[in-house]
Amino acid sequence: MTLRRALLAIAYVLTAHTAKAQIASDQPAALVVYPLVFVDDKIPTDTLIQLSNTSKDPVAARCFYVNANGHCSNSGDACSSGAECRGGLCLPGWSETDFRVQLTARQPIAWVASDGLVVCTPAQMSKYHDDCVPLDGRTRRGPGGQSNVGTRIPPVSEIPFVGELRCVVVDDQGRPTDRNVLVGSATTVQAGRDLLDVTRDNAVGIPAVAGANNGDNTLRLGEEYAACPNTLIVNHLFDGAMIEGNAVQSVIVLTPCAADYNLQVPASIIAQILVFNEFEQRFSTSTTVQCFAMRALSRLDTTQPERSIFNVGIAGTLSGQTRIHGIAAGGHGLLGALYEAYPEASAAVNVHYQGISDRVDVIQLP
Amino acid sequence: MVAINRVRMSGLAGLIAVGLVALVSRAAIAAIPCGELNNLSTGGAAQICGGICPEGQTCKDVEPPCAGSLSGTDGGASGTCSANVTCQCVEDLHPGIVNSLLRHQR
Repeated sequence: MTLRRALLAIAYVLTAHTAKAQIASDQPAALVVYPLVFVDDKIPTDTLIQLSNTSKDPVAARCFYVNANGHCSNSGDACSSGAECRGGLCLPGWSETDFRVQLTARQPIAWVASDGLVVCTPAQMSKYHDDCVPLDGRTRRGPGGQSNVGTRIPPVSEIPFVGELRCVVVDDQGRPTDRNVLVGSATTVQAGRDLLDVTRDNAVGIPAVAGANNGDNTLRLGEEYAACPNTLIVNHLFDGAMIEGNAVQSVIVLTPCAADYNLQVPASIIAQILVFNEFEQRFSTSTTVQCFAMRALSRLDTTQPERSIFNVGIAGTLSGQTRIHGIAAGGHGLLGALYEAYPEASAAVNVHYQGISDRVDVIQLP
Repeated sequence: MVAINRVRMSGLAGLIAVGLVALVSRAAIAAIPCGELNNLSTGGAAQICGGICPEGQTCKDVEPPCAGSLSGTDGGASGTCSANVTCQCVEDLHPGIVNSLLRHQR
């Protein structure tokens, strides 16, 4: 009986340890990924980024924006396709911008992507400025003299901005550590003439494995941090499904777990996609994700959305389930989020994960 | 009998000619780039925007904003800024976050 209890206790401890090392969007982690940061000026749209420290001690983080805008070869303007460049080519690009954040105990920090946070003068601090670092350490301090000193968050590098953000917990010397204390969320707000549209999704948390982090700038997901998911699972309505007289449209964001911010080399992964309709009939396709992909569901497999397996007319039912598995020569994990429109009110959806990748995905910091 | 046939033939030729003129004029209108057109329904007095634009764009009247701190527009009651309304191809902007994301697919 004693032996059985001991075995049960060991099994419980092992299970609990495994459960802690799973990627999740509702648990504190040492590395958080915001799959989409979006800023646009045609119909003013911005992203409010919130990052919170769940620990009773202060914590520092290094963060990395990735600007996934393409640019016209002739004008240099941001573009999505060559048609926008009037004779030029739309060259894909991925550029990284990094910054530091200092969080006080059990407190959040938040900023608007197009503004960032700056250290304000005492005169500015005395007025209401929502782009000032909250606790500047001079006029404002927290309990025990804590402050956000060291925090400088730049605005996104250009508008429109389409990209992602990752933040990793570091120690006083800026070395990655295994403290699983960060949670985050991104709220996208569009204030149109006759419409206020808001979506919110949690940052994906990648917890560190206790005691496994060697403190260097090479973050190994699957050894030092939790492994990336083997499969992403998304339950969604098919594009064109009529809900209360309106056609639903969805956009999916996919980003590889791996990233090289040192050499700024984009990771490239092939996403194998299985789609099941409500009768569990299976469709399949694949697409390449280079550093960052944001596409309409019905443009993942074709340039003609009405012929897509994600179109309601092809799928044959209103809703379905999509399972995405990444493959590549190196690491092959993918992260993502889904955005649905009904049609003028949008919603963000965190995806589900199944299994863990059997390869190591590497995030290389500069 | 020959005269009747001639009448029929000339009538048919006339119909074909009218059809050709209609087709040519329609093609000519379709080839007009976005710009100001006379509004025929008001006897040609009013100007409206019309013409072809690339897919996803519509020919609309665009009023440039007043410079600096000036306010008012051309024709306004107390305007200090006279803005020239021009016809331009304007991107069709459907509101909503997802519609904005669709315009920036990567």
